[in-house]
Amino acid sequence: MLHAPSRSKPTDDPRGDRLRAALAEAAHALPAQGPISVFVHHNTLHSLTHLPFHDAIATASVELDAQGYLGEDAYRAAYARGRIDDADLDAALREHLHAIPHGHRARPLGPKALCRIALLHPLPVLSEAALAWQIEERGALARMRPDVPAGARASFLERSLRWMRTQRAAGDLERAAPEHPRASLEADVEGWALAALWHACRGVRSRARAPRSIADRVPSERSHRDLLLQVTGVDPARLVNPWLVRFCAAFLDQGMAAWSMPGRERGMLACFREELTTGWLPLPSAVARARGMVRDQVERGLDAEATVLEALEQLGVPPSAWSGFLTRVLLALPGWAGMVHRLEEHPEEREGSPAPSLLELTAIRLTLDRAAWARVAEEELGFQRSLAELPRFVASHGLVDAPERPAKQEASFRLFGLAQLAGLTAEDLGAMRARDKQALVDRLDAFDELTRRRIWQEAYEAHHREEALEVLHCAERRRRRRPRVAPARWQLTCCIDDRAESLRRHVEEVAPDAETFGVAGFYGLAIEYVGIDGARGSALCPAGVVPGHAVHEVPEPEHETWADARRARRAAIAKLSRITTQGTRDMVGGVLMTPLAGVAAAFPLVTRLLFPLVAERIRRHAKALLLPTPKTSLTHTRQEEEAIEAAEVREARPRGFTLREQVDRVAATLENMGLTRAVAPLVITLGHGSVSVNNPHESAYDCGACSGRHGGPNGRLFAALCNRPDVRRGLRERGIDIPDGTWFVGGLNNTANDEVVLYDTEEVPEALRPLLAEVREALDVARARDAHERCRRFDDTPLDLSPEAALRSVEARVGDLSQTRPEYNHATNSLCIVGRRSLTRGVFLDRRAFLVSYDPESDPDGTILERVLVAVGPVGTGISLEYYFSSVDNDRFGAGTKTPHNLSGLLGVMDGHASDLRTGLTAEMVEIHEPMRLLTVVESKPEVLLAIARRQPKAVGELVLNAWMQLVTIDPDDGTISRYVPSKGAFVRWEPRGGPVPIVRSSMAHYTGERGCLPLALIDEEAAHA
Amino acid sequence: MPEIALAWWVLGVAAAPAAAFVLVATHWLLGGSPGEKLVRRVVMAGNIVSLLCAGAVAVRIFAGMDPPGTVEVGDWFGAGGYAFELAFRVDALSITMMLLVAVVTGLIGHFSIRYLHGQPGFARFFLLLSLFAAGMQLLVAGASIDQLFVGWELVGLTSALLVGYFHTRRTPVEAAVRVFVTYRACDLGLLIGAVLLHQASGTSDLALAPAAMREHAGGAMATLVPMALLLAAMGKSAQLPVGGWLPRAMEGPTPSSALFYGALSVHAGVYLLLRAQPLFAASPLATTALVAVGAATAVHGTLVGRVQTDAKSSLAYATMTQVGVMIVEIGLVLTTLALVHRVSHELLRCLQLLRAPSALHDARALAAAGARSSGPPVYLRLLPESLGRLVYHPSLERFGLDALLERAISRPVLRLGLALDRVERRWIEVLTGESAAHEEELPATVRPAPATKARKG
Repeated sequence: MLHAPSRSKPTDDPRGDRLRAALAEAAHALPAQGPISVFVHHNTLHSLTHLPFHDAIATASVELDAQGYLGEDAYRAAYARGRIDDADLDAALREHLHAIPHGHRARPLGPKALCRIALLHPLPVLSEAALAWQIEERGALARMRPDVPAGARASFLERSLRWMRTQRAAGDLERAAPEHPRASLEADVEGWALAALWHACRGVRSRARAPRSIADRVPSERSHRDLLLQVTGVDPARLVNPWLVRFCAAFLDQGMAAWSMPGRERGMLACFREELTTGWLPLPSAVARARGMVRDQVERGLDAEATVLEALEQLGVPPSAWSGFLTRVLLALPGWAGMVHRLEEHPEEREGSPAPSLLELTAIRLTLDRAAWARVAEEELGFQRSLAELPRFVASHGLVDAPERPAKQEASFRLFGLAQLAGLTAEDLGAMRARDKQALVDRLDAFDELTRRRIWQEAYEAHHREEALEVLHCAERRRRRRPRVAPARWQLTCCIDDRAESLRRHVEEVAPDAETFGVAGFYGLAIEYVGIDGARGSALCPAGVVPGHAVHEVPEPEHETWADARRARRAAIAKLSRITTQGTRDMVGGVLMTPLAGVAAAFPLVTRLLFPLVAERIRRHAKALLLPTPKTSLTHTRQEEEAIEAAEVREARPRGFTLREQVDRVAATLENMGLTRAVAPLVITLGHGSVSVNNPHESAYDCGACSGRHGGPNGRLFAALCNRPDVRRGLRERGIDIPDGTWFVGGLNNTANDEVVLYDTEEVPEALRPLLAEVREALDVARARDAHERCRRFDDTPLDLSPEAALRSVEARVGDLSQTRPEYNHATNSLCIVGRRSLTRGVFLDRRAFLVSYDPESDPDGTILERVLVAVGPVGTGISLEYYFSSVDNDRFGAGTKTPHNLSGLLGVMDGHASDLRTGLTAEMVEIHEPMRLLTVVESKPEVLLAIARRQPKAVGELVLNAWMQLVTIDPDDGTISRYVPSKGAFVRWEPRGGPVPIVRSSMAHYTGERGCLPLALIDEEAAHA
Repeated sequence: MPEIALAWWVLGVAAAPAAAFVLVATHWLLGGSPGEKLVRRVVMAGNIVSLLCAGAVAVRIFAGMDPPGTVEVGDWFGAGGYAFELAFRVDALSITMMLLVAVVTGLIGHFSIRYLHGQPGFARFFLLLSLFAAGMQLLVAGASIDQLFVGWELVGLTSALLVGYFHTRRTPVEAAVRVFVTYRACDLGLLIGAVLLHQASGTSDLALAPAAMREHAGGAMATLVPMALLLAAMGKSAQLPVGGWLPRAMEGPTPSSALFYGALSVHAGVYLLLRAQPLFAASPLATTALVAVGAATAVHGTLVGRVQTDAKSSLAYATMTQVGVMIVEIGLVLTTLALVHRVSHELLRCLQLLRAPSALHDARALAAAGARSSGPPVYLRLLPESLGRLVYHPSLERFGLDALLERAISRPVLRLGLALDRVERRWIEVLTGESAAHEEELPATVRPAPATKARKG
């Protein structure tokens, strides 16, 4: 046999457990994204939520070399645009300075003023060369910084002139500015003032610690690869990565290749060894170099664990450094390693591919890496000894280029810049003691880049928070002034999704007699759903929940034949499409089919590219024509005592719910959203999904509460359950009254083209038909307006479209093969408001808010709120933080631009032909996003929230206390607003700044003609409908 | 005079995109920063004019207003008594190609307006697109092999530059270099072929050359010329053993992959061979080589393609396979079949590559409708699994062709270069009596390792 059994008996090696623990720790640094067909938004730094947010970012920046905030330039640009103002900066600085000890207070420049200057103006640490360039080429010592404001500049010069004259009178000019030629003093006040200032700035130095040399960080924090890359400029990982990418993809492939790797159930390591020991095959030279090692491993029968242990030993990695070292090793291809880890832990996502193992991947990686490292060390450094000695060799031969050393006088130069910006002249500095000047430099050092960006981020968030709270404060007062009395004629429930905010707002503007609710889009029904078009079931519930019930869509008995015809025709179409897509790829099939298929391809090529709207409509009509649509129903009910059928045993979950289960779930969902009284005659329950073409990330646009799938079946099922008389009886026993005349209609909202489909409308009672027609009409107007509002953000769409044209435009958009921005998804999210709609009705929230309906009046002790927050907290922050991290570091945490993406193994996308799997969101998805932590506003009392945070440490507590989201409460009794301040660990009463809140006639009046983020506003309904 | 008019129309086909290129490039060079709107308008206008001209040519020829044949525009340049003339070949083959090039380039341009919207390289992409269109039109319409060579080089250059479109990442740039080097090496074939053709037949017109060759040249020439042209076609059309660049070329944005490696560029070799087919007919040896290269590539491509696990590599090998088959067809004098095969294949593959991001959607739809994956080739399914593995692993390794090329060609060439460099330095040292220590001028990979210095010191 060529290969050793890789998963043999566990060895007795006591180091094994320790290795597994180290590997588990290393795996935390890997992306946790699963196969891309089900894209669930999650916090990119999920594994660090036990740390406070800012600490987690500091950790990630060291471990992953990743950015956790935007760049200072981006924040300064936001400041210039007015998205951050001085009050925000002051507030953020106040909180920061409050938290650090004051130490020596250096007059005349207080710590806050100093920090403000450091935030607004770049004062970088310069190298010798950069400093020389500033002085010699840019005349930094002869002219004032260009970013000194004009007024400050004038006063600086005036005071300097005065001082110069007194100095001249005293004959002290020489002492004040010994380096100034003193030829033309009055004509060159600026030159003299700066020469004097520069002289006064001399003598300070930076006492900041120099970064550690990389040679000292191997192997505990960095690997030999990092060392070699820095020393030689050659990345050894590049010698083996393309090969390993192809191998991983072939092993993990879920159906992309026509011919999958034979015998892969034997495991990754066995396949790897077979591939390498197939003797005659020429391999890339770095990979071929590992051949000897692999033969030797096979001969000695080493399993994965023994291979890794031996490698670690040979590389001189002590057990204490294992996790850090292995992290770096796996980070050579984080996407693929993360996918291996994910599929190892989640067998249900493997789609029939065999179980991979991170340990085996590590064994493979270390084998290949040692070959590549040895080769680069040998070729570039002439180093031929054991790799364990490499760090010492590099250090002792002084091969590490010291990171560019700061210039000797850089601290003086920073002080020089600071003084100009602060309006301190040479006179002021001359009056300071040396230790006071040094204190200024120390304070600048302490206020380092990461800290500055943190402050900027907090100010950025503060700006939006203040704006939002001002508006909500006004809305709350308005609610008290004008309580709503008229009962609604119809009601609409949508997902809590931020995209539903605008739809709901437009529905209410179109139909003032309608009321809307927001509820997690799976309607509390965790189901495994099998539609008539689906061969297998899919879980329609939040990620992490295992559905307890299966629900099938079955044709009505009289429509069985249609259903059969549909199935047969779909199979035939699939077969045809497989022939034209896959069949034309191999030699014989290609020869036979290309001439015909090629001519046929000309039609879609021209229509889909030039006339996407026409092509999309043709496709739909053809589908409707070819595929009969049988009337169907959902198998929602089973009798208590009904025997479990064989199929159900196999699926391990019963089909349908018992009556008790139905009542439980419906009651919980209705209670959650506060729809327990005044139920209108007609209630529309919408789920949502998104359809787009040529988009591997399609699933990321779907309903997050349904694990990245369409939530239509949940809305339909919920409506069907609510319509059951038995269920209504059960609900009445629990105090929830659905009147007999009321009917529920389920539906699906396609968020990409604003389509709304209602299900089972033929069952609506006759008496409600006219109302239903009215509802449809209102929904049609509202969705056109919704499309209109969405279109303003697409900068390839004109701003002057009519709502109808906008609807056509989004319809064309989703059928357009060339469209990389089918919709903007959650790109505008920033808020989450948990409370009654009466608070947010008539508030223009700019599609920024998750709106969760919750009625505090019926929930005095917070049990319902706890239920709501446990679901909403992780989903909301998951979306918000994934957008956050994909925005601040799109290279590391995001997927980069979509344009070169290439689908690999049906698992994820690569850049081009053999790159790492790119996880996170694409650059196109986040380009309009304002990265900030979710501001969650809850209509409740602070003590209720704190109690929930204590009871739910993981789902709520960590997120709030460690500041992964911002939490604000609005007291349902008196409307006071309190904000949780993480640095104080308590809620603090919020006071309005009292700025003007925009009041607009209607949504459309507010957004028309605008592209960017808009100020939140109150909509005055009376004016709108007068 | 109708003759002149036709010449203008033909000239317009290639000149319109060239003019668009010059306009945008001049604007850019003079310090302007061309916006998306300007660039796409100019480039698409150039494309539409080119299409209209091609349409006019087609109408004139097929309506019988002008006879098919060579349209002379004038002398390109002369040297001594020999003049290189600017002339276009107008016949069914070249008209088909002109129309196809204009239509496909236009469609891809239209696609890219939205696909690349907001990309930092938007203007660069469209600039290269029009240069490519000009080169491709010159290539298909040029009457002489010299003009074809100019077009051929423009196509190769733009192709490499677009593979390296994302030049801030390392892999695309390496892939672009790989494409560029392969093209350079193989284009030597076209250059040699052209020179030999001039030498042997006294003409560079591919239509007249075969007859002239028969008249003037001996047997060796009759084989050498087509063999040289075959080398050129192998490079451009990714044939064995130099075709390993094709999957790597998928580093560019999706539309450029579709245009170059689904449709036009990769088929340019087929076009050259179609044009030069009469030359091959005169040499059994060259024909045998042609068929062998095509057949080997087709078998290689179909095996390797089956095991590819990413959408674009799979399509790259599918393309390679069909192009191999076309070359076999040309070898077997099935030129009409090859032309039909080529045109339909271009349309099909272009669409498939543009739709490559839909692979997941399609796979899920197929799975839901109950269609199954096709698995290993039929003939391999008859063999035991262990034998299947013996075919699978080499297929996954792409039969080690890249490693072989590295060992057999690139390393020895590199070593030779370094050796020559050392010799030269020694000569200079001897002749000038100075030490020629220019270490810092050497590329990093050639620099003597610091460790050896350390040891010496």
